[in-house]
Amino acid sequence: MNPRTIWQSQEMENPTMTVHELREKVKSLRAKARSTMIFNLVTALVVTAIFIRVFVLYVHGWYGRISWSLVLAGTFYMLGYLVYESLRLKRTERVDMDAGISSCLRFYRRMLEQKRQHARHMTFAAVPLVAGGLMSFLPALALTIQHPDGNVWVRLFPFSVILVTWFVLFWIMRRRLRRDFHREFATLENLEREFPDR
Amino acid sequence: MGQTERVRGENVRQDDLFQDAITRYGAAMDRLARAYEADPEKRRDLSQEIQLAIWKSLDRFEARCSLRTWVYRVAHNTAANYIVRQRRSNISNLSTLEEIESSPDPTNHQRTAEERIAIDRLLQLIHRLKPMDRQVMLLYLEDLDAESIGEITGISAGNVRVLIHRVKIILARQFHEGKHP
Repeated sequence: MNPRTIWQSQEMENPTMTVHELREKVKSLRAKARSTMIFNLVTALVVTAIFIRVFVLYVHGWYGRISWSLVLAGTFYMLGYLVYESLRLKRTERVDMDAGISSCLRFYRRMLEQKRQHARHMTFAAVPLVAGGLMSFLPALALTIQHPDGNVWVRLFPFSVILVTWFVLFWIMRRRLRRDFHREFATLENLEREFPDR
Repeated sequence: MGQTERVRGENVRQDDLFQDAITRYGAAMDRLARAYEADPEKRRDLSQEIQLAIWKSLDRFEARCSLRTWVYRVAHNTAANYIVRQRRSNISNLSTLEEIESSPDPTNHQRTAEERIAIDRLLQLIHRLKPMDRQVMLLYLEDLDAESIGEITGISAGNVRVLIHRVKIILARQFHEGKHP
């Protein structure tokens, strides 16, 4: 029993697509990517606009201005990055273009580096956002501690739940992402060590 | 020649190359999808994704390497990208050829003449492999020589020969050939 013969004797399972079907699929994928991009941009713009409005209307003291400036810096960074990413070729198309030119090892590394870069940009944006959010939250928390019998905590509760959930989720996701990247890069580096590029 | 005509000419060339590639390597691409995805529904998606990637990439094909090398590279890179994106291949759970080589010999497996069982066994073995080992194993099974495998994977031909040797030992043991395939 020859494994090569066995392997090659398998019947074709999936039909090959016609060029017309491929063009249609590309069209629908592009439309999907475009709508995702528009959604991301609109969401980022709305969030930024809300933060600017809060900053202009409600924030007056220097402490508040610093904390909200951090929040704004984070949202601006995220918005800028989204615009930058959108202006570049869509991710799937970049992958397809590079796929024939790069050997598998190089392609694998580039793919991982692109993902890591993306995660880094999101972290750069999230750090000032989280720091600013916490800074805005601290004075209210101090007030609640000073006047435990007052009703400040009632007003503070929803905001604190959102903030804490956000922070915890960010921390968990970041940790998981780091662990995954670490593992994937370790695998890749092992491969590169074992099989140095020609 | 106007811009429109040139673009049309390029599209025709891309389509012709795709037809040629699919005629020659379509079956191998189908088998490759099988080696990367066990679920039939997802496998159909992966198969389409591979075909789409090949078609799109042929726009940039300049014959600096053979069409076969190009098609296999695109297909393997797309499949590897799919695996990473799906996050299904918990890479730490996958094994290298060395690990499988040193695992207990499955001598208690009953020899069977049924091809389906043999294919399933082969697929199970392939699904356990890490991406690069999997690529070498698949390319070997597709009858490619060490130089061609090296060109596709980026591994030197010498290292590919070492890997192929391991692949042969594992396959011989799995299929009780008594001699290397």
